[in-house]
Amino acid sequence: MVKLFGKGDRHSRTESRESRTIASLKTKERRYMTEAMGANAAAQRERIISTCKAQIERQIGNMKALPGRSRSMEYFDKLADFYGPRAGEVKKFKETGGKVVGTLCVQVPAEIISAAGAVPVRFCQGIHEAVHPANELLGDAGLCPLAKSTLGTKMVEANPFLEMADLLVAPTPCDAKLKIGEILQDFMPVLLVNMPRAKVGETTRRQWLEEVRIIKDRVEELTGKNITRESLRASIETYQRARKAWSELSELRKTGRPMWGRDALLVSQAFGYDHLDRWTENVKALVADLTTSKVQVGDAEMPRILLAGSPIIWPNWKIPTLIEDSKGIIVADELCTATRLLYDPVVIDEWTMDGMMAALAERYMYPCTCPCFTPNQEREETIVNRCRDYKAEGVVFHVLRGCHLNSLDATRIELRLKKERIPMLKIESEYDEGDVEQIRTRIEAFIEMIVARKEFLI
Amino acid sequence: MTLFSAGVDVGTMMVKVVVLADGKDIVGIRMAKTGPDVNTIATGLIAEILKERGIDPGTQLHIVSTGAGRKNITNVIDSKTEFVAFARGARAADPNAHMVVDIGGQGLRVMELDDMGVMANFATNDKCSSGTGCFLDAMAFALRLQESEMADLGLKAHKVANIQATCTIFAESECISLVAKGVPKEEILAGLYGMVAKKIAGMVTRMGLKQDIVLAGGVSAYPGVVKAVENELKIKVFVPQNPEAVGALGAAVIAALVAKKRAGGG
Repeated sequence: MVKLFGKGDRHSRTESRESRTIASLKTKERRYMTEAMGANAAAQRERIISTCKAQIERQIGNMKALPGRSRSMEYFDKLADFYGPRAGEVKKFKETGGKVVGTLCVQVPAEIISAAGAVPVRFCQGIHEAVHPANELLGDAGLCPLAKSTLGTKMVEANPFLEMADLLVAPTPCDAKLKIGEILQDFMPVLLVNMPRAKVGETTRRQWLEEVRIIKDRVEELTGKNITRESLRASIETYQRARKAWSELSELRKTGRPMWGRDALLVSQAFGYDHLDRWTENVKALVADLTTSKVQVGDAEMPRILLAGSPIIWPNWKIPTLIEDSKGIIVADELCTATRLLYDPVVIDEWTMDGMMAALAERYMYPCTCPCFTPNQEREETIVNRCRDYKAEGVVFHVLRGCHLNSLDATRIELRLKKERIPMLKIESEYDEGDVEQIRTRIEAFIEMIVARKEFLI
Repeated sequence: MTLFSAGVDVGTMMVKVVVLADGKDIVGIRMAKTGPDVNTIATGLIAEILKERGIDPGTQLHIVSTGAGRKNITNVIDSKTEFVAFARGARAADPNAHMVVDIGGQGLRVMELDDMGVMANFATNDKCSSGTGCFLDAMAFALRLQESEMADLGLKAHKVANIQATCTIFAESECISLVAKGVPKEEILAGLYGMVAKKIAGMVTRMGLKQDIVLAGGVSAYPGVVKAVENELKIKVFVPQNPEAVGALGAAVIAALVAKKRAGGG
């Protein structure tokens, strides 16, 4: 059923904004979902949940079997289960009147959501099976599997975190996210955030800050709690601590091989829905454990790989697994589901409400290297610098089929990396496992090439 | 003592075997259609070569496998991807090779070599079979041509038919409608070769053309394809005597290198 907002909704700052957000939620009829749709929903839900659980179990099993793995990873293994204890925790929180806010992209300042007392959860999905309900609805619309999987999961209610969300905050970085946000209005309240994509000029700055303020208004309205200077400051500081913990973990990977890249990615995935203070504590415990044990995984000959490109979303572990099964090791990334989400801290000049809001807006847009933006030379600079800092010898640039913006950005990045004499492999793939062997060959060739260039042998 | 090495290239269509003496002298080249038991096929091909040259079948042979089915070959000292094998094989066939284009049964690959003969870059087709051997097979079927006719019929064309589709399925129906219009088969074939050449030229240009270019893979045995590639790139290309065996040759060279390195305690 369509959930509607009551008449008591606070009015928007401007009329145009109202027509974009709240008015569209009041549309009584479903624009996309017909009565015929969803006839198979129950069967599809069951299939999605069972294949997703099997996939999670298999991937976690693979990772547990990796030699030299830290015991502190067990915490993150448990979190990797969408149907596990964390979902129960959030459910309890909701039963006591708590609100949950989904975020559809990395540009949503989660600090604001937390400051209003709500729990932010990442909405993007990595479940292959879930693309099918979306395909049934849209046919071959050329959408990327991430968009389809997210829509499909919500359509058949296959992920408890998505079901618990009271509101979805959806920026409009690409065509897929824009329309997915629109379609999801048939299922739940969605705040479409009109994010500017040209990172220049005063109009962009003003518009984005205004949009961030709208997010604040909407979550305040949802929870009934006003965000105060104190609550926002406390929330920002919580996120700063979390990002600091991640950078401490990353620091260890700069020269050594303290952990497999897959494990690091798993840690970052949990950031999307875990209790943040607890997540930070556990990352710190992992850092402490790795520092004391001084363990080095794999062997020194393994080429050090930076993984970039389209989002890698748990449990779609295809590309990271292929890289590390082919005797490479992921030491760094430039992904919106990992380092892009966790790298840049919010820098506050003045702890006033305006100062904090401006700083949040700044943090979530200008350093963001999402390919939706232009100019975006920050992206190649980030990749090149990160290769240098982490001693990465090659870049695997992963493109989800249908993710045109990443596919386009790949050329600019490849040309830049060529100048730096860093080899790059562009891999185009979907969520299904049908192309695993072809991709394995290409990744193996890439790794062999890096090894051979070091050895001058083959 | 002579060091014998073998390269086994398990392609999607053919299994190719090259046996080398001391990593450079070709003892023999053999190939057979890929079947379910590639291991037996490869062992049989190696045995044939050894028997033909009167070499004791019990002689120690260092084998490196390559190609899509490389992992199905047992008793190997290593296995390498076809990219690395073709790069090494091209340099062995032409000491000045700086690029190699492999037009295989289902794969189209371009590799760049640095001065040391090490692969420096590579590109390949994704899931699409356009421009590969099985693409031309489908067209041969549409044109009702035998493989032997495919090889040089295209050379006889006075005009080149314009084939626009790159998708195997669409190109097939384009061929059929050209036949229906009465366009001679040789012109259609020349058009198809031109399309393959354009696809290759696109990949080569994107990587940055470097000479010499070696053309390898089964499809390179068609003079019509070679001519079309030369026309498109406006340079001469080098086609080894057995273009389809370049990957196996590279694997055999690698096998000798690895064996020497290991014997030397490296």
